[in-house]
Amino acid sequence: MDSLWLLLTPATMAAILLGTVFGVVVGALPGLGSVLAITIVLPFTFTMDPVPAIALVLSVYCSSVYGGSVSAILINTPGTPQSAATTLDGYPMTRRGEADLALGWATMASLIGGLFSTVVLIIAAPQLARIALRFGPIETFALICLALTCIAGVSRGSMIKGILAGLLGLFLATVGTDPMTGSVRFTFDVFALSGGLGLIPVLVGLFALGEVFSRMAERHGGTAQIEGRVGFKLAPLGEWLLRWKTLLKSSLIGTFVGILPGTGAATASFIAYSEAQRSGRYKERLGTGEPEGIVASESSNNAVTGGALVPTLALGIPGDPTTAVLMSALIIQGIQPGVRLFIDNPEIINAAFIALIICNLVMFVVGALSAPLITRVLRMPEPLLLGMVLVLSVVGSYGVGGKLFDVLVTLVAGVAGFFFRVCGVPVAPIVIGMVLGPIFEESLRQGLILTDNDFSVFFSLEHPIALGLITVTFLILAWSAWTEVAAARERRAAA
Amino acid sequence: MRVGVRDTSFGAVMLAAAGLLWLETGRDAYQEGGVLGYGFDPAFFPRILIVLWSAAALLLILRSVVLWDKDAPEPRWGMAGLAVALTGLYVLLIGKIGFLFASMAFMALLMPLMGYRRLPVLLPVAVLFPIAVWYTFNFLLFIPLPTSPWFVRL
Repeated sequence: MDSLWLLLTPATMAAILLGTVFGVVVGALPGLGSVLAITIVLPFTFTMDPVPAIALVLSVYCSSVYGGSVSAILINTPGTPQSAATTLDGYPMTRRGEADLALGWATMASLIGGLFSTVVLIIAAPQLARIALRFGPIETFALICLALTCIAGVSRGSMIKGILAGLLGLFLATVGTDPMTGSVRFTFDVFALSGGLGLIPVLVGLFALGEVFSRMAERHGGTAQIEGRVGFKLAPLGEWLLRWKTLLKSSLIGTFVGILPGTGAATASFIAYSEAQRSGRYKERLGTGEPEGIVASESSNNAVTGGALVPTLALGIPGDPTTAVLMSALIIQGIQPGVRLFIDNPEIINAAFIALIICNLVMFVVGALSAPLITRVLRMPEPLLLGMVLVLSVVGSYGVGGKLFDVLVTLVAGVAGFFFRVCGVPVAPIVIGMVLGPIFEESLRQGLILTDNDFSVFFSLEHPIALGLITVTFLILAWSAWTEVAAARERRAAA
Repeated sequence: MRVGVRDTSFGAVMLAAAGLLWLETGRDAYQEGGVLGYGFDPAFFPRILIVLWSAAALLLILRSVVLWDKDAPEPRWGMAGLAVALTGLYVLLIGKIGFLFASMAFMALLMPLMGYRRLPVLLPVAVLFPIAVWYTFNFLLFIPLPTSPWFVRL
C-alpha cells in the first residue's frame, strides 16, 4: 500500500505520461530506438526523487519498444529493430487502407505482452533474488562470465568483435581508483579521470553521438512519405479470441527470451513470428497483411521488457544495453539492483512493479490518441532531428556532474562509437562490460583471496553453481564459434 | 574498403593499444601490493583483460585473413569529419560563450551542413529549441548550464 502511495503523486504521474509520449515518439523514429530514448531522459532523473525517476525511465522503456511498431506499420520502416517483423503484416494492412486497424492490433498486443511479462517479473524476480542470495564471489564471477559471453556471442557482427567489445568495456571500468588498494589506474596524470570514466558520458557518446555521426556519414536521408491522416481502431473482441493462442504463446516467448542475457526484443519477435508461421490459425495468410503476424511480433517484443528486468533487478546483471542504461538510472538514484534490492528497498521495488503496470496502460491510451502526432513527427526532416539529438546528448552528459570534462568524454566516446560502427563492432557489450566491470573484478579478487589464489577452485565441485555456469559459458562460446565458422564456410562455398 | 582489410586494421589498432596499456601497467604506481600485503596489485585484473584483449585482436586479424572477403560499406568520411569537428567546436564554445549561444550557432550551422536549408524552419528551430532546453534544465530541473561572459544567466 505504501508503494502505491509513493506512485500516486502528481510528479510520478506526470513522469509516466511525459515519458510515455516521449518514448512512443522516439521509438517511432527510425534508427533512434529504446537505448537512445532512455539515454536522453537520464539527465532529467538526476534531480528527481527515486520513484518518479524510475517511473519515467520505465515508461520510456516500455513505450519506445511499442513506438517502433508505428513506423513499421505506417512507412514500412521499423522505428526499432524489435519491430522489424511487424512490417511484414503491418505495412500490407496500411496499403489496404487499414492502417488504423493495424495500429489497434499492435497497441493492444503490446499492452497484453507488456502486462503478461510484468506479472512474470513480479513473481519470478523475488524468487530468483532469493536463490541468488546464496551466491558468493565465485558464483557471481561465473554468472558475469556467462552474461558477458551470451551478450558478446549473439551480438550483431562477429563473436570475436563482441568479445573484444565486452573486454574493452571491462577495461574502461578499471580506469580510476582501484577499489581494493586505492591506487589510481590508467588516468595518464589526468586528475579528472581519478574518479573513473562516468558511465553516462560514455554511454551517451557511444550510443547517441556515435549514431548521429554514423547517420550523417551514411548516404541517405529525407523524410517519410505518409499520405492522409492516420487514426486508431480496435478490432472486435471475436477477432482477438480467434488469435488468443498466438497472443499467449508470443507473450511467453518474449518473456522467456527477455530473461536470457544478450538476446533482446528483435530476436523474440522473429521467434514468435516464426512460431505463428508454424502453428498460427491463419499461418498461410501471414506476410500478406494478417493481424496474427502483428500480434505475434508486438506481444513478444513488449513482453521482453518485463522479462529483461528479471535478471537486471534480481541479480544486478543487465541482459541488454537498454536494461544496462536503466540499471545505471537506478544506481544514480542510490538504488543498487541485485540480490539485496528486494530486502533493502521493498517499497521502491514494489512501486516499480506497479509503475510498470501503469506504464503499460498509459502506453495503450497514448498509443490510441497519439497516432496523428506521430505521423507529424515522422514527417520531420532528419537533419532537424539529429541536431536536436546532438544538443540533448551534449547537455545530458554535462548534466551528470556539471563538468565540461564529461562532455569531452562524450565526444571522444562518440567518435569511438562511430568508428566501431564503421568496423562492424557492436557497442552494446562495451556498455554492459562497463556496468559489470567493478563487480566482476571485485568478485574475482575476493574469490581468489578466499581460495588462497587457487583459480582451479572456481571450476571445482566445491562450487557446483559456478561450475555449472562456467560450463554453460564454454558451451556457448564453442557453439558461437562453430556457427560462425559454419556460416563463413557457407558464404565461401556460395561465392 | 574490403572487410578483411578493415578488420585487420581494427585488430592491429586494438593490439597496439593493448601493448601500450601493458607498458603502462609496468609503472611503479601499479606495483604496490594488495591490502596489508595480501591480495593483488592494481595491475592484476587489467593485465588479465589486456592478455584476453590481445588474444581476441589476434584472432580477429587471423579470421579476417583466412575467411572470405567482401566489400564493406564506405561512409562519407568528409561529412563524418566535419560533423565531429563541428561538435568539437560546439563543446569548446559551450565553455567560452555558454550553452545557449553555442547551441544556437551549432544548430544553425549543423542543419545546413546536413543538407537542410529551409531558413523559415531552420532558424526558428535553431533559436527556440536551445531556449527550451536551457529553460528546462535551469528552471525545471535546477541543473545550471554554462553561461556566457556577457550575461549573468544566459
